[in-house]
Amino acid sequence: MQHPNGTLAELKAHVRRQWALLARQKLPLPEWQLMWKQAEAYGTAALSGAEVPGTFVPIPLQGSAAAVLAVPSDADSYPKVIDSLALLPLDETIVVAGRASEPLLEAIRRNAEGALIAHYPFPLDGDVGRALGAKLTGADTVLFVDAAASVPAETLGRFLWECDDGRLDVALPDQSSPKRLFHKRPAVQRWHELLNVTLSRPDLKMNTMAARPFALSRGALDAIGYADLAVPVKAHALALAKRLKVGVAVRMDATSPPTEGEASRLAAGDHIEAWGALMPSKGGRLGFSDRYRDRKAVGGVVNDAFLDSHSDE
Amino acid sequence: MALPPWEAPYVSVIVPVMNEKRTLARVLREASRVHPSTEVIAVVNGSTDGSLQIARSSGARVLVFDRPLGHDVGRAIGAREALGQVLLFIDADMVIPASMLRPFVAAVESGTDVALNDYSGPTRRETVHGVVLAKHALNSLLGRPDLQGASLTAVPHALSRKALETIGSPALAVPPLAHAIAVHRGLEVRRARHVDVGLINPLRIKRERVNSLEPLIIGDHLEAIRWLRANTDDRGGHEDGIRKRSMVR
Repeated sequence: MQHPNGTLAELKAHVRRQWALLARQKLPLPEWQLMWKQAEAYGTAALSGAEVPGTFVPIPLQGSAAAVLAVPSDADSYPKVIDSLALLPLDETIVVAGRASEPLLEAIRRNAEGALIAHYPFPLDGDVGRALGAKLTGADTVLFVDAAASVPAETLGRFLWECDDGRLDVALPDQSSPKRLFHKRPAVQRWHELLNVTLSRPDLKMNTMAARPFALSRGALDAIGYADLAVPVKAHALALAKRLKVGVAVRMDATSPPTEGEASRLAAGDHIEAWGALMPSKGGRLGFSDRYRDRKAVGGVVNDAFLDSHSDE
Repeated sequence: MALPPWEAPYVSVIVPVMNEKRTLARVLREASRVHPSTEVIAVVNGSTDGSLQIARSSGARVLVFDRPLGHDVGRAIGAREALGQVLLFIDADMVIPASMLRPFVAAVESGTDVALNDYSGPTRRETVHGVVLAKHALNSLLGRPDLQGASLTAVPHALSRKALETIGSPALAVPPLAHAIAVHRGLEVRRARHVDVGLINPLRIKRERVNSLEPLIIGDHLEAIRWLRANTDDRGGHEDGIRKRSMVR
């Protein structure tokens, strides 16, 4: 797809720069939906002026942006989310696939122009895939998406936006709803919720980096590290413990949590691992102090030797 | 107590007491009626309101501490001194009729090691109290989602002597820790009977609003998780799926 003056990617980059200058002439920027509409109108008109069909939404990001998409080995259909990504002002798109079929890879190559595709000849865990993908980009904001879910571009763009303007380092999907009552929610969400409570962020409810999409700032990526990114629950806990700006970007139905079986046990292990990772620095009670119990009156309780070595906050 | 000196009691009822003169006499009276062979152990600590006199004149065994022991420590001390085959734990600020306590004893008699109050707290809402959340989350982490929010954190509950020996009395001072030990070591842990402590003791609910125990109990649950890790592995014995973590460094 050649444009007379270069590639589509070059055209989009040009439109992006133009719109960023124009949009930021009048500050403050409008609220999200209006800003999206304006960017969509400008971007689409600019493409059409260059006689390129399609939609492009150059939301006026200040830094660079990348998307990381993990395609699990059992995926047999083309991930529609790629079409949403194509509308966004991304500097890089990184697709990490484990043992994907050749027709699937071909479809991805066709539709995600300029995407970097990392293909592994064996089944790849999605979390590991995303962590590997994150290592391959140096962008200021990185959006992590799931191949299985189709998410509108406007929703995905919101995650980039919240990190780019500095409000958040970790932008999460808000999965809470007044209609989704506690007794109906799966155990996994209770662990997410308890993890947030134990890190003094009950306001996050059950929201977590274990659900996609989410976006991270460069600062968050550096603070968390790629190895721990492969265990999103642990990465989430570390982000909170390191006092990064963690919050929700937009209300949506994110990837649904596992309700039972292996995935649920995996999540149980992830949470225990996450709490364990915090305890060496924050103590066995993570600062939830116990000042009044006279433990010596019973000769000490089993964990006391460990607890005593950490003063409560 | 009118027991012949050579006959050990079958049931020990353990009641920590700190300034509870309003309800104490009635609590001890109901406790003494749970079984024909019962010892009541009042662990009076830091009491200045005459609770000690009430406990002494009730005929209960009285253990006295001139200072407050703090939450749940009295339970551990009472358990250490108990002689019964069944240990029933109640609070002194909440009068529960003996008829509602007997099912806990009966459950242990018929093979349960840990007979819990089948009380999960209010959960038909979007956000629940942190303690309710922690109890549900711990039970499902321990592989016992069927226990819902039932926990050794709530009274009344009863233990078999085997449970006491398996858990060890000191851990009873941190009830979620004792709960995790009981479940993880494979004791028969069951919901025995529903006693709505919220209905029986509205005063306590009021106090909870003023001086919340939530941070203490959240910390207790973290101690339980910490114990589970120390006694299994970093992941609490759970698998790691198809992750090849070594690929990412």
